[in-house]
Amino acid sequence: MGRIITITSGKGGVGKTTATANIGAGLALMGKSVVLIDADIGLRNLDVVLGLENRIVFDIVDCVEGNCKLRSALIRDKRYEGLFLLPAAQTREKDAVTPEQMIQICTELKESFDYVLIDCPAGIEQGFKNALAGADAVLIVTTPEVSAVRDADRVIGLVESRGIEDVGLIINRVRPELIEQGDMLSVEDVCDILAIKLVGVIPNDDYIVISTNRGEPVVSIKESIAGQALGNITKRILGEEIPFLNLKVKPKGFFASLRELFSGK
Amino acid sequence: MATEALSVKGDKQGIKLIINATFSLTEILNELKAKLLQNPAFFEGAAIKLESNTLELLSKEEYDIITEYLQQSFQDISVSDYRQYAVVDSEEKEEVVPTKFMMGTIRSGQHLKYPGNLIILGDVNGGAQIEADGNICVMGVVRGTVHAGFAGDDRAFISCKRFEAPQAQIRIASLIVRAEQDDKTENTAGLEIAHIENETIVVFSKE
Repeated sequence: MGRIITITSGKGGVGKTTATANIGAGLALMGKSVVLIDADIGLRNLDVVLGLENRIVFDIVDCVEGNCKLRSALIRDKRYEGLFLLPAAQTREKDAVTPEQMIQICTELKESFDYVLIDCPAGIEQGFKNALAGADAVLIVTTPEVSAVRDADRVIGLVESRGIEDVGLIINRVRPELIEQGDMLSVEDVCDILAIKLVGVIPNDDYIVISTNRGEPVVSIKESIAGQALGNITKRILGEEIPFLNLKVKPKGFFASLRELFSGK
Repeated sequence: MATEALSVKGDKQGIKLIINATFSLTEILNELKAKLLQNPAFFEGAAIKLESNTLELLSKEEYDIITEYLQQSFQDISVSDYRQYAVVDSEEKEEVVPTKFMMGTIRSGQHLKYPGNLIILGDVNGGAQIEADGNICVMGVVRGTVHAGFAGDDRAFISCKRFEAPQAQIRIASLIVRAEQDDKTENTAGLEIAHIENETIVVFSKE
């Protein structure tokens, strides 16, 4: 019996889709069978981030309307053993699927997969309700900005009111140098406000942009610090105790400063 | 003591009639009659004070009936106050305001409204709104909008660990203020209380 995890945030553009793709790929790398559901009908992205866009034949709406079997709508990611995607329809809207149909799909997928990850659309309307319908656990993605934290708070309230108790927090795009200057909410500040279990802290990383554009999950890029953070999140989801990455700004040594001075940087 | 409707005690000031108001008025009067018949000379010309020994109190009417009965029985008797609070109580009843406890943090978009006191065992986050006809007591930090005395009671107060500037908005009765950053006062005890003073909302912190 698998576990259904919905990844949501309230605010758009904080990294839900990137997190979903990478956690999915990470779980697959750890030998789990995973299916990713894109619940963002009409604005699908997850397929693009995974580089599977050109392989879509059937989508979630086709399944719901009975045009195809659920199994035939799943796209297998050839790079990751055990990773599947159930894409969203691009030409329809959120109301093409009802929460009941979503629950039905989830329970069916739960039978044959270890993890079902649902990429929730931004907002708290129909798409959000669909994505949350069958969830066992929820991961909230936020950035250290007041607007994102405010929306995350709202979403946590809605999630808790549905009786879902397993709610984890991922803080994305953290910039330690700004926190040190006092220009950004620190991880502690965000945790203070939201008061839920912290699952991961992802530092701001250019590799994310590169990997998203290439359609390759960043977890498989060893040099990327965001990739490491996402790998750690995956392990924490699997129940391992992993310490958080040290994101302190390293104090510059005397020679490093000198070298910088002479190299004209 | 509590099994009797009435007991008599004498002290320097005079005679004290201690009434157990859980008994009915007729029972009390019967007991009183019996006590008076037993030893009428004892009561003659005395200053009698009525008291209650239970939480139950006599109403003003009942008090008047007993006083009248005593004064009819003896010529020069003086009956003094049936303990003051009983009389006050019958005029201005102490009202018990309903109080609600809320477990956990109140988050953005959540709206609480209650016709009494509210006690929140958690924070009130930005974007949350709380309205109570009575007082509000927040065990955590207030970042949202809190409104005490919603129905217009300007004696209502709001207490919390800290009003976080600049998000928090404090409303009492018909007044509104925003939380202000104040570096001068040190909130060491972790308690801030907002109430109305001279028609403005004042927040003071316990040091």
